[in-house]
Amino acid sequence: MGKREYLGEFELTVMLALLRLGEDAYGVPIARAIEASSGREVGIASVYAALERLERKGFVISWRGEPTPERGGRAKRFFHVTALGLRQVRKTRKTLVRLWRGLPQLDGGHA
Amino acid sequence: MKVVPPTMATWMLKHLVLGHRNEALEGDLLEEFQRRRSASWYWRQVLGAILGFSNVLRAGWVTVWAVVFAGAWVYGLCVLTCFIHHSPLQIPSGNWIPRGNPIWIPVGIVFYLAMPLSVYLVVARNLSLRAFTVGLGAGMLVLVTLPFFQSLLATPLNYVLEYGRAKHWNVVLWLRGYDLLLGCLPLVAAMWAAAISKIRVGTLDP
Repeated sequence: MGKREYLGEFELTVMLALLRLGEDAYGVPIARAIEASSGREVGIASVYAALERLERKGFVISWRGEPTPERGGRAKRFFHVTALGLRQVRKTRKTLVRLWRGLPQLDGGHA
Repeated sequence: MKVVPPTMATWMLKHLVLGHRNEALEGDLLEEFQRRRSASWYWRQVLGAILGFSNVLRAGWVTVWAVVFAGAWVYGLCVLTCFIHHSPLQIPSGNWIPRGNPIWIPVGIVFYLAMPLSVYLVVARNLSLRAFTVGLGAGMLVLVTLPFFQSLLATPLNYVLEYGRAKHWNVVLWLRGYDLLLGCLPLVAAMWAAAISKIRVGTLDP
């Protein structure tokens, strides 16, 4: 695995939110999806920072939507997971599952 | 009724977030604010965007250049002033922030903040560096020719002072701030040239 090809914790969270949302994935629903699952407030700017990193790594692609009046004439930026990104999510899941297996502290609830 | 987010926060979002201006982020924050969020949420999001760690890292070299330019600017103006007035070199701030009157301290601070801010706008916002340099050169040329213009202005100014009109607050303010405002001239010219150049090619917003 290359130096820049791994997925950080927040990046993985964003990737999973993107996969859940499908075609309608832009800043607001992504942040909401993460907030709903984590129960804490998420900075939309930090979501964009993660998405920029993911785009540089080739894990997501983005395109500009049409400007809308309710957004003050500003366009949305939509994101979609690439095939490379999907492979990386699967790879990360395998790694985490392997590490998770056979950990008595996590199974029995002991620290 | 349409709810408007805090104006100051919106201004800060547009101008103080380093890197390319993120139109999508601005739109997302507005959309979310109008739907259900509070002003404090909006402020937290804006401050988070400004102080974001990745932004700070990305803009590290911009900060270095801004500091270098600010130092060179202050020193250059000082040398130029000494050259114009044929006076020995003094400490840099002495020529541009009049001493003894506290009212000029905020003006001086704004003036000094304008220097690194201008560099930030040119570099971080990708305004035209070439146009900025040309504008700066033109402004400096005007500054160098100041003694000539000052001599033209001297007669009417002396007239005003002599006949007591200088007691009027606006006139006094203008006279005291004369040098300070002229010192800003090259900077204003440079920023204006850079901004105009960028607007012409239509790439102000990435």
